[in-house]
Amino acid sequence: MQTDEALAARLADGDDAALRELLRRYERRLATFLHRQTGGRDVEDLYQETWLRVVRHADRFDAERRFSTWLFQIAVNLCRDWHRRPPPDPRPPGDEPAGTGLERSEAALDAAQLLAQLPAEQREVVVLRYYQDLSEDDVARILEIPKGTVKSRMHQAIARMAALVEGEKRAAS
Amino acid sequence: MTERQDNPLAVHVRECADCRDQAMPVEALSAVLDSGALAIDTGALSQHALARLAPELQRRADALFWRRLLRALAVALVPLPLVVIADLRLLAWLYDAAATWLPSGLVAYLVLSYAASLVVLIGSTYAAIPLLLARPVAAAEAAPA
Repeated sequence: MQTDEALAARLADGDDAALRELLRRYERRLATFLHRQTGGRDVEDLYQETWLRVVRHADRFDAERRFSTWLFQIAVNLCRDWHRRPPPDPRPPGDEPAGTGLERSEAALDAAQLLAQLPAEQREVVVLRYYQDLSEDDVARILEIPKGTVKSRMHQAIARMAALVEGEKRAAS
Repeated sequence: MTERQDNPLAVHVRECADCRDQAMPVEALSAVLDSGALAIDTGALSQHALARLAPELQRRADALFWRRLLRALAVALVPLPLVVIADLRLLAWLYDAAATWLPSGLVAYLVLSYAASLVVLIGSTYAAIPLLLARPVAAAEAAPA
C-alpha cells in the first residue's frame, strides 16, 4: 500500500486515482474535524475548498513532512478564515441547510454548544486532540505552536468546559 | 458506551498537576463531547468534491504533459544537428563508394531512398516522444477506479 506522501506526489502529477485514495483515507476525519470546528455549517464548502487547495498546491508539498499534518494545516487555516467571516443571518435552531449530506442528532447539540463556547484556538486543540486522536506533538506541528502551548490551551479548554458542564448540572438540579 | 483507553482528556489530566488538583470531571466532559455521534455522509461529500476537482486535475495533468513534452523535445533536439551531419557524411560516402561500381542514376536512387528512410526513422523517433509521455496518463485513465 502506498503511503500518503507517495500518493500526494502522484497527485502533483494530476493523478486522480491518487486523489480518490487520499479522499477515501481522510474523508471521515476531515469531515468530522470541519463539522466540529464550524458546528456543522458550510462543511461541504470547506471540505471541497480544503481538497482544492491540496490539489492546487500538491507540487509544493514537502514529502519529508506528513501528509496528514499538511492536510489539517490547510483545514485549520480555512476554518480560521471561516470564523473571521461576518455571521450569517439568524436562523431558527435546528433549521439546517438542506442537501449538505450532513445530519446531526439532537444530542450532538450539546457537544457543539460546548465547543462553540471555546475560543477558536482552544477549540482547535480540543478537536484535533480529542476527536482526531492526534498526539500533542502532531497538534503542535499542525498549529505551528510549541508543544507547551498545546498543553496550556488544552488545560484552559478543559477548565472552561468543566465550568460550563458543572454550571449546567447545577442549573438542572 | 465503552471508555476510551487513551482518552486525551484523561491523559492530559494525568500529566497536568493543575488539572489533578482541580479534580476535573473528565468522565462528564467526555460524555458530553462524545454525545451525538455525527452522521456524516462522507461518500456524498467526496463525490461532490471529486466532481468539483475534476477540471482542476485535468488542467494540472495537461499543464504537466506539455511541460514534460517541451523538456523532452528540447533535450532530444540537442543531438539532432550531430545526427544530421553524421547522416549527410554517411550518405556522401555511400554515394561516392557506390558510384565507382554502379550507374549514377541508380546510385542516386539508392542513396535518396536510404536518405528518405533515415528521415522517416528520425521523424518517427521524435514523434514517439509525446506518445511515450502520454502513455502513463492513458494507462491511468484506463485503469478501473
